[in-house]
Amino acid sequence: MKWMIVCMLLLSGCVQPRVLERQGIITAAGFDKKGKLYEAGSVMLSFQTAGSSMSEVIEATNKTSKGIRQDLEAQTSHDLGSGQIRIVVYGKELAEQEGIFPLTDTLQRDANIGSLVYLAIGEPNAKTVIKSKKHEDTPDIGTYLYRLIEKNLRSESLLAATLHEFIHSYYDIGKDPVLPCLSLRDDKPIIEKVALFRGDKFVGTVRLDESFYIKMLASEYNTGLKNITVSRDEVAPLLIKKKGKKVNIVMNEIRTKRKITLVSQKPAPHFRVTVKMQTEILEMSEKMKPIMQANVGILERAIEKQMKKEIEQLLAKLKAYKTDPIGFGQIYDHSVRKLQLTDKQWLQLYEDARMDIDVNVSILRTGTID
Amino acid sequence: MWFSKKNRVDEVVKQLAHSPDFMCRRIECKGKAVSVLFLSNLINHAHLQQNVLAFIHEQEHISIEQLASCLPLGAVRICETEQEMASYIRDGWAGIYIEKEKRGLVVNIAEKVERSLEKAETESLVLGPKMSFTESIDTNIRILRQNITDQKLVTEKMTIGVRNPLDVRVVYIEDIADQTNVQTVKQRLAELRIDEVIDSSVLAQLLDDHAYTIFPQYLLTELPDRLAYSLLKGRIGIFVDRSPTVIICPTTFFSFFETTEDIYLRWTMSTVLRAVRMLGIFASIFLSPLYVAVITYHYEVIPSALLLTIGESRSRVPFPPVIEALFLEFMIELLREAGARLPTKVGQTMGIVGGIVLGQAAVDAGFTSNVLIIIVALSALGSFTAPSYEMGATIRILRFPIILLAALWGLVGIFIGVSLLLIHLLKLTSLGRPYLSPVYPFRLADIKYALIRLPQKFYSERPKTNRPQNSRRFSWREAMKRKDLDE
Repeated sequence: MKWMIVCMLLLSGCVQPRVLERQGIITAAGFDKKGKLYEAGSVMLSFQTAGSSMSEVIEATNKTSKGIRQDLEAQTSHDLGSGQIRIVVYGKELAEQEGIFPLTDTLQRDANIGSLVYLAIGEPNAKTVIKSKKHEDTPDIGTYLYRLIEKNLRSESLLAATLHEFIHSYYDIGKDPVLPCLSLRDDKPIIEKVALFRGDKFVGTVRLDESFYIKMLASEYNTGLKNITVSRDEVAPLLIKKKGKKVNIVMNEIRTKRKITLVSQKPAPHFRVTVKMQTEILEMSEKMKPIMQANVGILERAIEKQMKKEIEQLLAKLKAYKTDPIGFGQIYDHSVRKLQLTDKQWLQLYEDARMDIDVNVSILRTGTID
Repeated sequence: MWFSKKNRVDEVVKQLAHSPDFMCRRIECKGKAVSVLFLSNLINHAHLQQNVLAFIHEQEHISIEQLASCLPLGAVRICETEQEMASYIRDGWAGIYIEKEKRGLVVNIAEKVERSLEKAETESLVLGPKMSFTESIDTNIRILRQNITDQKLVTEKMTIGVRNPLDVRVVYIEDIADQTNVQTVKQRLAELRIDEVIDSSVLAQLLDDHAYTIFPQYLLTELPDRLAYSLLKGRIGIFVDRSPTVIICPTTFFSFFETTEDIYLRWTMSTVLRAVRMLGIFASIFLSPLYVAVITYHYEVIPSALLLTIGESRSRVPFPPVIEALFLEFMIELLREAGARLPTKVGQTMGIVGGIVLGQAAVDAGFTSNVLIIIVALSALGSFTAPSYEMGATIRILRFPIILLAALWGLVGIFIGVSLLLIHLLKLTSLGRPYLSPVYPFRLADIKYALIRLPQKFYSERPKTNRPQNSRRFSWREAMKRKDLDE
């Protein structure tokens, strides 16, 4: 019996080996739309015997992404391996017109590709981002983009970028995905904006400082930095000089807790959003009187007021884009009994939804010296 | 009984005639012919002259009985048959026959060749006693008795081997060691029908529960303190004459990874050292198979920071990873074997030639990758951390089938290998006791003996694995009752 099992194992044949150096390792891929076809570029890493390794971008055009893959295979002596793929960039145009779900779905189905692959939107298109030659000290653009996004996710200025999170938000009713938006400055890809989606379609972007609030409202926010501009009148008692227009305050080590509750369902959904924030002041654009227990409240109130204003502006913008990355729909769905919310229903409700914002800032320290 | 006594001497002479060093000294004493028979290479000549020959000369009246009671030597025995006498003479005793007497006499004037006590070589320690056993069983028993003065210490004598009888001593502490274990050992020894046993390591193999496994089932040690420790914890030792190593049984898998130093060091240190050793051994078995599996099948799991380094060094190598790994593993084995066979002076240069020249050249020539050199060197180092030489060798061999499995099916192959290995280990026994104890069957109280170390107060019970008759060692509360000076 024992030997039969051994024989069965031995006779069942071997897996096709994929020896590392025989692979053309794809580290990044970009998809664009060209008429009715997809146009794709892949960054292929090949190992060099002498000198440093090189990466190369190979391109193909086809109707499907796997068709593209076949065309790409014809262009290289290596076996193309997608197991090390780190980032997939979609062109803005493609995302806006077609939606990217068909393309993300095939990534999800490929067992070689992990679900922690980063997705991003390329502006003006994916090809220019992928073909950029400026990738700092990394061996190829794929690794550069991967590290760029990873770093910004860690410092929590981005909300979510992995394939898993995208698919999750996509399938969730009442929540829309967001992705980082890569744009070029002096031909170098950087993150300037965050792309908003409705379903899998790109609808618009918000700046990174606005995405701070999305992140704050959608989840807990820990560490990170925020610059806020308050009007002079608000903090007048603290100021020494009387002239000037605005005061800039930089907060550090931000910890927030947010609570969103559905207050009433009818006539239109009415949410109360409470944000509790603990922070410390890192920088101020102007000299101030010493901030004591007694007068710290003035500063706190001023920041609260400004934040509330900015959040309301952002929510209005999101409503205008008809996208809900914060997940109000989810909360609505959870709070209302016996409800099978659909995306369409929520879209209608969302337009009229009212959100009351309540920000509660407490400044723990005014710089680490005290 | 009419045939002359001279014939009896001739009988003995005939039996020993093929030894050129056999001497038959006939002396006339008070009108009687006395024959003294001995093998001149085996005896102490000063003893022979002063205590035997001179003594016989001085006697007024001479008879076997009288000699037996008066000879100034410790071991004197009266022999009835020629065979008996011949075998004593072969052991270095001197035989004495007196004319017209039926029986003979043997006296022990043997001088055995023996080396002096030396430091332990194969189980070298930094801390603790350094003395090691020697080839003489008498000396070894003496060392043991110095280590354990317990009156319950039993050293039972047994003889095995038909053609070349070998003195074997089963030692244990009567009221601690499990009687079933003692019975098993004695029964197995008694049932051995074999012409000769050359060394204790051979005897250990003969006593094995499982002959076909690559895992050693008995611990061989040359350290008296280790034996003493094991005996006091309820194990059994087997001394074999002419062998400097003692068999300790029953043994578990984990006893091969502990040293006496673990006990001598403070518990924190020895816990960490044991962990390091375990980790090293684990790495030693699985690092090269993992390399083969990952490079051949699973390039996805390589971290992006390492991808380039590994890829670049691999791109020069013309062989598939498995050939590369086997080649390098073989090279390391070759170096080790050559180093072990060569005289120490040449051995050192071997290390340099092998380690630096061959390794560097192999990379430069594109035979292997840099990364693999590191991996193979690490796993070789890991295997040498096993305190038992036998277990170290086992681990070195164990990795080859796993490399092959990794080459066939990648990570799945490694897991098949691990599963088969675990199943095998679970089935193994040593002296009928589970090999993987205390992990399986799980005995929480024994983990502190096998895997980690704790402060001394936790060791008030002997390990359950050995099934001691009396498991209580001491009461911590009483042991720690201290009286201050002013009390």
